[in-house]
Amino acid sequence: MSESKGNQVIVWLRATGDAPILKQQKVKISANEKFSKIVEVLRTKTKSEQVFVYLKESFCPSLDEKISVLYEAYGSEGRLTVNYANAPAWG
Amino acid sequence: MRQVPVGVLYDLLTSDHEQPWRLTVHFRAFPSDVLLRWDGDSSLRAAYFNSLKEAAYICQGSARGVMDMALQAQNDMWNAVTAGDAEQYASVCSSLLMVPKARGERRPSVPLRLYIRQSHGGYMASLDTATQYTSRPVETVTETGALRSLGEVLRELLSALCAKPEATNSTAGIVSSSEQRDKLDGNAADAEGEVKGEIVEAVSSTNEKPEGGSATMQEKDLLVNGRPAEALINGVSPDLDAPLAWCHANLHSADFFLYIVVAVRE
Repeated sequence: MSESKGNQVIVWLRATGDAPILKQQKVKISANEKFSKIVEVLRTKTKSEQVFVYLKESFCPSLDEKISVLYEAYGSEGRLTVNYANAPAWG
Repeated sequence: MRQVPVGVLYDLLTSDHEQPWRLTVHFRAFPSDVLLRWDGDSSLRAAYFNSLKEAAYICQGSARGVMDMALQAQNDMWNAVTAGDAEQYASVCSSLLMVPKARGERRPSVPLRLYIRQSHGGYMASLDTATQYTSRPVETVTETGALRSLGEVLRELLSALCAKPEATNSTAGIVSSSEQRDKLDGNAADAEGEVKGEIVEAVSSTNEKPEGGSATMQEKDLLVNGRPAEALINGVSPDLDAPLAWCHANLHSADFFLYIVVAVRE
């Protein structure tokens, strides 16, 4: 339950399917933010209202959950990897 | 967007477990920022399987088992869930082998969703302001391999959730608005409003319980902000000394999450 280092989490945004690949794929986000923050970042960066996000190439966590909790549970190698797509993937 | 199973909502929002449950239906001002509109069975089904995949990952370290299910098996499972057919459900589930196991350095964990109600918040209070919520893997054993009890786990989660600064300020847990975008370039300055929560273990000496034998009165109460709180799983007050692993194995929901409500007594 410890907080991740420096209270910021490195989030690696990886495109899936034909979603646009971002110029900046690694972003630092406050560990206190909710996962919905990442969705919002992706919406802005991909200029698309509809973004599908996944952890572990399989599921979408609760959008209300804090990034620190998700990092602890699903992060590895010092970062949280988030896949995004513009259509449902990994149904 | 939060989807809360209706049974959990009942445990969370009714104070005296009234039956029938009286609901107020509103015909205007749909809160589309916090609630998904009902658009048919398919979104519910997708949410269920998404939840099941997360649970599978937590139990086994991979959601492959669920993702590789044949369409027929998925249909069978969904039909069993919606029909409440325990036998068919069990037969489909057995192939998923959803038994929590250690993976790498991580001890065996179970998928758990905890809802905390600190107050009713009054008429028209939103779910977000009156409750707190977490969904996460929780380890079932200690470093030494001893089983962790439900009470132990709940006290740890309650103190972690209630002691952190936030909660009061994060009114609508939903993105949107340019305000969010302004904050985007990293600062944690938005975490102020402090909610101090001490979870103290109280040996209740006050056993002045009413007649009608609620023999399940806990020796050790859960406290949230110094106020006694009650845990409910599927509408039942669990024994807080029961091992978490046992609770999960016997009381998990159809999506393999263990849903627990902790409500401060009014």
